[in-house]
Amino acid sequence: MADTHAGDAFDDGNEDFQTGDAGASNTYPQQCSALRKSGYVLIKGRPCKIMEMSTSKTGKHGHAKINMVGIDIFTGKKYEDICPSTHNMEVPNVKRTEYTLMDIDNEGYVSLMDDSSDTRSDLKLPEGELGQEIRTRFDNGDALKLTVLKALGEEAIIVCKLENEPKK
Amino acid sequence: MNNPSSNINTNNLDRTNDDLHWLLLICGHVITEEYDSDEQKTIPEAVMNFSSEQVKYCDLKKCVQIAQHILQHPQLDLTDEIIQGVSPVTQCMVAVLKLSEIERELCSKGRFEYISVQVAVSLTWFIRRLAANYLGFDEQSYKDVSQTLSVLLGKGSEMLEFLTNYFLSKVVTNLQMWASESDVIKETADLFVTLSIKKESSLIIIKNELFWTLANNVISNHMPIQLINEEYKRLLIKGITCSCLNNSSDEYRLHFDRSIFQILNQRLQSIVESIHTLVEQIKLNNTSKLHCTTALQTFYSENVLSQISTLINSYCGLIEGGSRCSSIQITYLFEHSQQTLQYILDLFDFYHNYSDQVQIILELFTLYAEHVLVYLNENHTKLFYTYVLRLLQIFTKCNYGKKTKEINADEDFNGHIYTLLNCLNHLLAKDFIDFSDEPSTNTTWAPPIRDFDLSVLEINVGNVVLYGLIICLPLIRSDNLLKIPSISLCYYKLVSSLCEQHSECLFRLLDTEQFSIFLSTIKLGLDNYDNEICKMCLETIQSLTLHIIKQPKQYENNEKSKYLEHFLDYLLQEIVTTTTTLSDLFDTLAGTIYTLICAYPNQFYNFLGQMKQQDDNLTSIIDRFVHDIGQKHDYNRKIKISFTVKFETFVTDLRRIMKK
Repeated sequence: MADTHAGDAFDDGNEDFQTGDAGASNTYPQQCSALRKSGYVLIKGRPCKIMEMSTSKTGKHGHAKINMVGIDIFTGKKYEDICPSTHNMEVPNVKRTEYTLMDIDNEGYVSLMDDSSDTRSDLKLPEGELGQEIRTRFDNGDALKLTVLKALGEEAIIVCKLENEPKK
Repeated sequence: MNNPSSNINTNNLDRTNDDLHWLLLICGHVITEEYDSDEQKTIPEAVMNFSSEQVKYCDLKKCVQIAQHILQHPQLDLTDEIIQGVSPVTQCMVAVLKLSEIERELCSKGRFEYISVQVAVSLTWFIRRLAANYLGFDEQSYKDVSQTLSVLLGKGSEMLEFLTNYFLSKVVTNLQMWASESDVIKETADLFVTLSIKKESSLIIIKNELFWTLANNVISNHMPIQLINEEYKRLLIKGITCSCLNNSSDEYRLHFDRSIFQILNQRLQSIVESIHTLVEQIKLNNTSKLHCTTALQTFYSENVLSQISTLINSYCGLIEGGSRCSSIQITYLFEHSQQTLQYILDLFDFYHNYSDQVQIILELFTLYAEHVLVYLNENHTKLFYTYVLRLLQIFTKCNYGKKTKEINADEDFNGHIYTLLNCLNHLLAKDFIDFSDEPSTNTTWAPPIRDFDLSVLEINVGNVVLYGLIICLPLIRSDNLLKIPSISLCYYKLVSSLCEQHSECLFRLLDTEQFSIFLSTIKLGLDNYDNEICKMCLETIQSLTLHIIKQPKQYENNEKSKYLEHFLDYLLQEIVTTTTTLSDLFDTLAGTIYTLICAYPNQFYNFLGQMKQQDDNLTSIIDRFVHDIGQKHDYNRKIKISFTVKFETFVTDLRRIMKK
């Protein structure tokens, strides 16, 4: 079996490519100027989605500074930061994994199965509307797929969708 | 700046840089004009005339020498004595080139404290406009051509080649020096595109080794290209593609194919095949399953996602650049990207949970629909429709019954819907604009895509667009997306074009419930939006009603026809009860009412009868109107126009009576 991962796929003789490996770190550095709106960045230690980016200058003829407003992807809290465009910031590795919902127990823990048929039961239904929607649909007998967001060791269920495709 | 002392008076430096910035802007606005990317600009006539008048005072040879020497010796003295005999326009250009050289030299010596970002922006801006207006200008456009400018910058002049190559080197050094400054990079990328779009300059830069080194760096995403925004990387690839394909030379197309196109395709193929291999291995559920699962996860890391986006973005730049070239080149791009599109659809499926990747792929297909489709022959067109159908299938699968609490998910989703509607609009444009030539003789086509059952749907643009509409409609309604101006405009434009060209598709493919839902969006448009959207809604109703008129027997006692009939009462009621003037819309409104009367005459007379019963004073007006328009209502354009006039009189009289 080919020892395949993303590094091989991007290898066309260019040694400058940075690729993730098994057991990759939770973050990687990126220069501020390369960040973009809707991308991710670590602000005050929290993984945030960048909502706004604007540029200001250090002095009339100075170098650019990037003002960033980000929302914590787990708590929804707003964070702001300013960074010179030449400095590095840490970008969190944000993973999304889809699972089939197998069961919901009395305490709200969900049993999930991934595409490789591995199961887990360590996550709870999210609070609020999404959690209620999942429970209602599951009780109705709908086949559901849940997406779990993971970053810096933290996880949460963020998306629910119906597994069966609509009729064409 | 020649002072070796390390003590810099910052205030003086700032003042100097301020002056330079403003002088660049003033000179730039005086001797050049702004342009957009589609415009071929040339030297402003006033400047040409002025330069012509100055020729008698100028030493032509000196103009060229000064310009050339300044680039080789930035320390060259430019006192009044030296410059005497050089035309004012040349002086201006030479001074700016000198400034550019000084900036480059300071950077190379690490004297960054002297360099201003603002001046770098203004300088690149000036050079960009100079390139657009002056390089290889068309002498035929002028009554009197200035000899100085002709010698310096006319087509085929030695100086033209020299300056063009200099501007290319400016692009390269800017990318190295200013990668972190987005304002400078924006102007730099625009400068590169300007050089690429102009045929004369593109033929010059493509012979320069610097061009191919730049192309290689951009395609490989080497430093410092990695530091710049995706938007500007796309512009660079647009420029590279345009330069390579902006001529009829096979040599450069082959070079482009080897150095750019094939590299991207190979990279894409490698990614997709790796993913497929890992997925297959995981399904086999053998001892290597854990290793494969972990390996597959690497394709979801932020770093790799970013590189996927860069790769797809590169294809976007490629299509944008190709769209500036001949139809032969565009067809060549499509013929060599069939496998590419299939691979990208595989990536669309794999990354369906990642909104950025979804967005960029939707954008790529929209670019193909906008720029490539109009040049494709029938077979290629059908193939492209098949790809779009698969795209729509995957999009449906991934959004069916979706509920999310992800941050900003609604904004991302709105972006997807808008781009999809835009793509569908461009597909429909093929009905109106078709530049395709003979059927392609290319035999290296990819086979039809795998898992889409073509027997389900005949592949034509009406069906494909309607399929897309059927998918988008529930998603639009559930989130009330029509309240967003950009989406509503796109949606109503799409439905009015679709109904104008393919109204029969809606009757054939929508079931009764879907048809009713569709009409409810039309009513929503009439109730809540401005005249532009109202007009599109009225045109939609007209087109659908016309279809019924052409086949009356088929739609007798038909549910869908009954839904459409409601609009007659609704529009007549609106005319009667509204107090606002309808001057902008009146013709379209009258035309729609006429069409509805032709389809549903009985309903029309019922309505008039009810009006007479409610108010006796209206009887004579109504009777006069009925007499004027006659009893027989066969749809006819001429009668429609005369109906509009009679209807206007009727409405005016009606409102006058009802006001009393």
